[in-house]
Amino acid sequence: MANVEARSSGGCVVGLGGTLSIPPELAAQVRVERKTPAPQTEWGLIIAGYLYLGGLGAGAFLLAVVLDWAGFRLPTLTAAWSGTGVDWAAVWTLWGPLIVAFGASLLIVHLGRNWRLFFTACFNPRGSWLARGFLILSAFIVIGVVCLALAVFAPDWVSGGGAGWRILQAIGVALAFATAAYTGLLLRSMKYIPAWRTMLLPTLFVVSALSCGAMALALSVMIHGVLAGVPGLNEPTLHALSDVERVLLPLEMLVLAAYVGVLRRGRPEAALSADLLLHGERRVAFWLVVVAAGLLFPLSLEIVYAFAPGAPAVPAVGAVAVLTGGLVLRQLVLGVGIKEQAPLVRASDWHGGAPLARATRTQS
Amino acid sequence: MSQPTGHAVSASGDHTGSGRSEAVGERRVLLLDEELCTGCMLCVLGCAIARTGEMDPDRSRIRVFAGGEEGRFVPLTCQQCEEAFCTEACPTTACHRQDDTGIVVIDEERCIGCRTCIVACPFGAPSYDEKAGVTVKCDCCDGDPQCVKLCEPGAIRYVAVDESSARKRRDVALRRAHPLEGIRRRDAGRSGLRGPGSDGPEGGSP
Repeated sequence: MANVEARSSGGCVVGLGGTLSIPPELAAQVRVERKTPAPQTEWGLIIAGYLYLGGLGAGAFLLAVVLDWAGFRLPTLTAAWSGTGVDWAAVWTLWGPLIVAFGASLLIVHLGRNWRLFFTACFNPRGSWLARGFLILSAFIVIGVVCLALAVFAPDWVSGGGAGWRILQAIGVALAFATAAYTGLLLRSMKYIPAWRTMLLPTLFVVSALSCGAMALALSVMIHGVLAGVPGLNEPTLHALSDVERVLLPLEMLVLAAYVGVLRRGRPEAALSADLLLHGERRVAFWLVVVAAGLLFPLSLEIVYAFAPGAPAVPAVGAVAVLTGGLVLRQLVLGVGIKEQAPLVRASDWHGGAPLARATRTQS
Repeated sequence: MSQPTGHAVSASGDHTGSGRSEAVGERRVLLLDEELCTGCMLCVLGCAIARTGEMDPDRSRIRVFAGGEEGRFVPLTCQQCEEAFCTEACPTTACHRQDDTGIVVIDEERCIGCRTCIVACPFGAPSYDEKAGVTVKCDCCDGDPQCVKLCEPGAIRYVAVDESSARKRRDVALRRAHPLEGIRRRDAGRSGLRGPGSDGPEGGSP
């Protein structure tokens, strides 16, 4: 009797071969095997792209404005066809809202009835972070595009640095920060997914947004220099961004380590999520792409760049690595979101979440 | 986690469905019993036909999961949680609780198909109807659930709210206290010793 095996799912034990005759008092001797619950699949790559581009655009805009406040400005870039009085240089720094708008279009693609978004998406801002996000992103895109338009078409007024321009920039920075934070807060609001229910996740996404934004901005500034005909034209701005990145990357490593550590010590579902990342089926993407390629490699390149100025290819390679790591990080966080297991049987975990009809049809 | 509302009806309670008139004044929910489910899928097909006019299981509001090696079948639909997080997470308020019946429904005219409610639901009960481009969930057929009528073994019942949650709490407690109790009760249910409407050893529904 002692070697009887049984399997358990959600606390309901079902015996194999003759276990029905076992009295309840022997239940303690029954070996229990738990099935591994499956992560959610409703939010996949498209939503990861939405969160990534939202953070990237917001981070880039925020840093561009802060650099402007610090006195790092790109030389004027004019075009013969647009005449004088127009400065296209701002396009290479204040493009963040356009990227956020592109990211928002990914959410629209994800929706089943996308045209309804514009009429109904903000009906429930009191409870839904998606509705709040719609409002935050809309406000950021509008203010950001106004800033961009003014910087391009009214450069004289902007370079005057009047109070109106500063206030507009400050509102833009606040909305950019809110946009970057929202990408994490949306996930954190899903209270039945323990891997997302921690403030470390919005923190991680904000730091990652700034890191990705800084590197995208660096690439953009390099392109501006090339277009102006002087590749090393924006070297001071590049070095400033590199300095910022040398702070952000270690910070992101720390927050990521804290996040995974908290998951491991958290609820069983959160620990499972951490296991998936650290040594489960997502380990290659996590260790190779996020940690090695997305954090350690670019950090080493930034350190090299600090001692070898005048080699813009070094931070350019690092920028591509950081941008790739940022996208994969969000995809991984979404992909390890395991719901809390109800005390009742978690039926949807069977067959990898596929209901009977679908599973049967697939087999046939 | 919010507790599902509901209670099993007494042993003599109706499990064959009831008209809307009976539901008025008494809040009722679907009570699913995996121990009685045979996996016949009539509920799934009946729901799909009743709600969409198509015999497409993917469009059904109720699903049946197979229990792998254990050979069990588990019907799953909305548990009508008292604190329904899906209604909070919905950005458009398409997912809301009806004032008169207390049932959580999704207004398909307002749903944008963002699937937030599916991620938010601890049971994953709402499902995405790709053809309609919206998320759908059980609304108890406006007080006359078709799946209940079609479920021959009585695994789906439309019961008063109070008894359902007590039944579920008792089941969980029993399973934790006596892990093998579930086997005995399931075996009894399948062998016809106990079924819906009959008094079991514990004097209640199976």
